[in-house]
Amino acid sequence: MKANVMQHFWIYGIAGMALIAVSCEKTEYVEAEPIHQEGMTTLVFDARYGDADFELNKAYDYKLTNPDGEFDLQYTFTRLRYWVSNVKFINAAGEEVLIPDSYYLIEENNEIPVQDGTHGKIYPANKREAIAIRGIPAGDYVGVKFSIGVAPKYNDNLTLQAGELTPLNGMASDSWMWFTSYIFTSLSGEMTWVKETPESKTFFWETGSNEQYKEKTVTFESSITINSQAASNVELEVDVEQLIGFEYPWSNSVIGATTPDLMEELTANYLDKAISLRAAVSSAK
Amino acid sequence: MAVKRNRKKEWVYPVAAALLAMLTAQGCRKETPMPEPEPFGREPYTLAIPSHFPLPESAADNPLTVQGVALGRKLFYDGLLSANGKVSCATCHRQELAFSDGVAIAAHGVSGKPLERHAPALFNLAWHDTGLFWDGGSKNLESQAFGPLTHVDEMGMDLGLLEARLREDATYPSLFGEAFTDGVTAANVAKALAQFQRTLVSGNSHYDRYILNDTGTSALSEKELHGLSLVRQKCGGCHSGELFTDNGYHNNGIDDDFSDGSHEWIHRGRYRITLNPMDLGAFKTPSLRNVMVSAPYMHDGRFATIGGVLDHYAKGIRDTEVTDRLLYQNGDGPGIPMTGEERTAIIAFLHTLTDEVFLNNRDFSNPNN
Repeated sequence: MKANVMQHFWIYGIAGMALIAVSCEKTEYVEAEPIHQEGMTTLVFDARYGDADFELNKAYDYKLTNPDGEFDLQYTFTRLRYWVSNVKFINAAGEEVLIPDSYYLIEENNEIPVQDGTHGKIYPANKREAIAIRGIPAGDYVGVKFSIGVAPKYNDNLTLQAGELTPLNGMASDSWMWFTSYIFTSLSGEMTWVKETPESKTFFWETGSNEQYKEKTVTFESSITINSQAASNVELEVDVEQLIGFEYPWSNSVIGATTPDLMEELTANYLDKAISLRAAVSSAK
Repeated sequence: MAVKRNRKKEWVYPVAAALLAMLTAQGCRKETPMPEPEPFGREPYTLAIPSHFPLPESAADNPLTVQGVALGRKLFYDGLLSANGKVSCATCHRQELAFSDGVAIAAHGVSGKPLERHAPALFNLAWHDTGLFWDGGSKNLESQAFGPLTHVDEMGMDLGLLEARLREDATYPSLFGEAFTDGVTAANVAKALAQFQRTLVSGNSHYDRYILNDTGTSALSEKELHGLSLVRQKCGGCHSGELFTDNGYHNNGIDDDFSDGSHEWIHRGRYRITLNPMDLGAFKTPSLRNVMVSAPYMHDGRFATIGGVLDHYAKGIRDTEVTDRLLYQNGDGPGIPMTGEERTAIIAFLHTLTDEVFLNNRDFSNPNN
């Protein structure tokens, strides 16, 4: 009888251990890799105007030189918004680590009337220039790649969800609904031609469409370490004075889907001229 | 003995359970990431495709479900989707008119102002994989829905307000929950509307019954058969196949001046999408199916009757660089010659493309009635 009981305890013990083993297996689905802990970094898009801080509603001088001569312009900005997507960190081996679902809206804007004010509703004023990116595999990284805009898969179907993408925040709707695309970038405000009798007009400079989906590569001066034990950040500068570098800004105060050549130029202004590395640093926590 | 035997049996169960659990665990580990279980009750909707039709594009990102289609149908007929609560999709897309609205240019949106283009008929949309709208600017039914929903002269809706209204409604939250994993969202409104619209299959006209079984009561008359062969021969370049459309874009010679750049080039046709100069004034080929119930005609509804359309093709085509060469059937000149007898035969045949079953199908009608 006693032996029987002992036998039972032994059997239940095995069953219990097996169940514990099962629990462990299940836990592994959600836990990170046990050896190399993932880390986070902050990607900052700091807007500047030349050497100055960028601020909305403040007049900035601009010296325009084009084949017609030299002109004194002044720009006052009310809105700078753009999608940053498909962020990839480049590790020391040259491999690209794609951050899944990486769609972020960078913005600095005054209140925006929703759908041209037809509902008396506004999109609130906001400033957002830092992206906290988590879940980056531990390692040393020598650069970062990202795109401005929305990849064709999502850009072709406004109901597909990824990251911060939404058709509700004015970066898909308004005048673009006749043409399926998110608004990739949106810069607007007022420009003034400074002369004896100054003239002013508003400008809306937007890009969109799959053709304008382009990638930027930023190489760090020295590699940074990302893991659970290190703090790091990648700071980029966005020089708005470079964004507005057009030969004929005055006669092209609206850039959008019907001006593809100017959109191309504007896209290049973002990627090739305005965005540059300030610093990429890491340190042990 | 009986007691002992029972005990022996007793310890078999935990061991078996443990072994089973270990096997299951092994199985689980192989299928990372774990698949999302389909919530109970969401059933796939099987689209009934007429046997003589081509296979439609599959909407992999928005598969049809019984619940999604039913929700889309309810939304299609609901004025709640518009700013003033009175304009639904069905305001401009009436089933008895093959989901068109019978007027050239509608002015029954929330603002009461006339629109820029004629409301198209809606059917066989599951095959429209070349873009929606007269210029194809919208890439799929999902994205298209946001156009009329938000347009200030159509439904004039703020998408945030739309979500709020639907969440406050007594029935919609549970219907969205049954149809989609993430409940009430503006994106799911568009997805549900797209699902319902993909079910609007029209392929049961007199002509179809003739094609599928060309004897007895389904036979076409001599005159109708003559019309069929004339349509295939003279119109089949664009109104091709069993869908009676190539879903392509053609300049059919209704205009010769494309200098009007207003409304973001809306009068320039497909050109504003492709920026290809040969697409100036090109608009999407509508199907000839249900054509006799979907007057008026053209992207701006300029022809009130089918007679007006045939007059245009016979002798009204503008000769421009961008006029589609398929229309040059008059020697080297523009125009599609047809005798009076041929016109009558063509019109007789077009009547056989009216799908009364579709026009009266209660699966497509207002579910709130």
